[in-house]
Amino acid sequence: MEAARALGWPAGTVAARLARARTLLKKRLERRGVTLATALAAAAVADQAPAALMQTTIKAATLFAVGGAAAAGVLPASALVLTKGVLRAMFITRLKIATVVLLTLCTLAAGAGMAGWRARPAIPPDPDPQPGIQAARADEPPAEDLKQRVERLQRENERLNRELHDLRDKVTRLEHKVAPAREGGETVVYEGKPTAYWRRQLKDRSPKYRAAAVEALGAIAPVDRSVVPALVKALSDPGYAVSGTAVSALLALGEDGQHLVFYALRSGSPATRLHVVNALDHERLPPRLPVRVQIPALVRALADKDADVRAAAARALAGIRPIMPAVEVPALTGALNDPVVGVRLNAVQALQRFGSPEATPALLEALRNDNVEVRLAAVTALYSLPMMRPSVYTALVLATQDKSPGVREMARSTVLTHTVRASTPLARPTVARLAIIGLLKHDKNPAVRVAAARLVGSFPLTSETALALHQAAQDDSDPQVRKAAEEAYKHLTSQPKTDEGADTPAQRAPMRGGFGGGRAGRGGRRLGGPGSG
Amino acid sequence: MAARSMVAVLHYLRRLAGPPAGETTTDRQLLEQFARSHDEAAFAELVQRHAGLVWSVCRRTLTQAEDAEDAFQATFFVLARKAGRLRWETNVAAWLHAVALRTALKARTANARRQARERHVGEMRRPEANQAPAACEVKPVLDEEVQRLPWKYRAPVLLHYFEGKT
Repeated sequence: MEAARALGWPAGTVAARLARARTLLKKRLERRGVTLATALAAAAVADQAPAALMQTTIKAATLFAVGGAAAAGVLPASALVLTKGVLRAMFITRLKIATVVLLTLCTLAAGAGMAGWRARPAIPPDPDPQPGIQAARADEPPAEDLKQRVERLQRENERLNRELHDLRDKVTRLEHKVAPAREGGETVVYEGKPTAYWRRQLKDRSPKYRAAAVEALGAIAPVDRSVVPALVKALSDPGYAVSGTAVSALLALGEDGQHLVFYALRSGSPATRLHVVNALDHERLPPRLPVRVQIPALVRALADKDADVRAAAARALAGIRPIMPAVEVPALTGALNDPVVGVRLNAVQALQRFGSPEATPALLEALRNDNVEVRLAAVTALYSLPMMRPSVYTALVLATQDKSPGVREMARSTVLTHTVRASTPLARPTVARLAIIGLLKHDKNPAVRVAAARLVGSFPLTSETALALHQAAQDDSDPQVRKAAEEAYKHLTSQPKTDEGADTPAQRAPMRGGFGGGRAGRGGRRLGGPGSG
Repeated sequence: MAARSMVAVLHYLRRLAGPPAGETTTDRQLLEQFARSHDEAAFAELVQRHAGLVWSVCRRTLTQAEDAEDAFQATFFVLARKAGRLRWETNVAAWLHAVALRTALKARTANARRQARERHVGEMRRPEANQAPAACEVKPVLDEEVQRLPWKYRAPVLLHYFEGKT
């Protein structure tokens, strides 16, 4: 209601326009990544204008209106400079508007003149004898009048043209006057050379000089944003050093610059995208660039149409040292199925770099990948994990049965290494034991089975360990394995028994082919498995 | 002179007697009055009405309080200077918002330039000044977007959201 009164509009109109404005504003703000609520909240935070400031402003403004320059001595100089600047800018804007208006008028006038001139031959040279028609034309101006009107319009047109010309001159003069104050007067200098020099250097044929120019413009950009478009253009420069420097310079500009880089990454040409991704590679980045800027950009590039871009992004991601945020895992997992092998391999490596538990499921997933190289990379990645978890053991034991000998070998050594690495036998997790038992039972390589048998021998005595060794000692195809199992079994049974509920291994011995012991996650009591019936 | 003071007195009386139709004199009337007689009271009323709007724009755009104060004053100086020279709408909120934003942005560029001159650019490779503009760059987004709205939408938005009118 208040608003309606203040504007002199009906309340309904105000409400409707307010609603429409809200929608418009919401849409446009969201396009810029701000929600209306946030923006309005930010607007509401601003505190009250200080009362003293209001008082001085009222007094000073009145003085200013009355005395203008005469009051200058009394008024605050900084505010006055600002006022004059704004007034001048408004004057120039008005001149420009006036120019446009005049141009329009001239065109209209010229058009009218032409129309009038064209209309002339349509009127018969001598008066029409018929009185009816004569009467009908009575209110039209006679030919002589029209002629005069055209002449008048033409004179007017000329005058307006002259005026327009003068005004244009005036605008140019004023702009010249303003320009030095805006740029020339306080030229930004980098290494003693003005911006204009560096802009010229940007056109040099040698990438070296272009890169230097980009670096200079990058240093100037925080002060003078007008060079930013040149930096954006340099993103597509064929020279890697040039585009790389441009990316660094833009990213150093804060959020604005980052948006520009991301935009290029989304919508640039394939070459530009590749350049940007390469530039985002860790080594070449400005030191203070947060990983939270770099990683999302690279992850986005993982989904690029262009295989080179994807591969470069995966490579860059694989090289990132700091721990990545967990949100990026799905994107990398997705990249595990990329048609390009390089992308897949680097994705695995990137996942490995994670070092955080979130990456492990993705790596285990990679163990089941169709591609041998990916599986191999995944096993390698798991090898360097600092701590083994039961699920990892299980997956690795399964991987020891992989089609590819390389993967099998790596999986075996990973399982063994990690078991040995665990500090004391008691600290070794039960599941690790089960995994080793699995190796002992199912591995095709006798050497592995021997190693596994020895390891099992060092485990605490339980029905499972004892049974597994007993079986191996009896049934293994390889004499060496049988021997090792035998020794391990003796060693084991000389220890005090820890698995309180289980029967003695001898009683269980007939249950051949009882398979389940090796599987991780099985409880000791369900040892018999399918053969126990 | 006598006639002029007479007018002022009449205006004063009219204001004292209270507005005839519901609320108050419109901004346009106040400006006309100020242009005619340089009536401080009329201008004071205008400042009272729109100080919040202008101040919030200045505050959002400029980080330093002193700069915001300069921009605030300058905005009203421009209003004072233009009082008799423009054809005004009933309400000047939209106009003031535009001028305030323009003034504040001008102050900001002037500041940046001054800083650039004070520190020689050549030495600073990655200026730490980066953060300040980036941080306050977010805030004027609303003002800029409001500026882009057509006048008929802008005016109600400003009155409703910025001046708290119902």
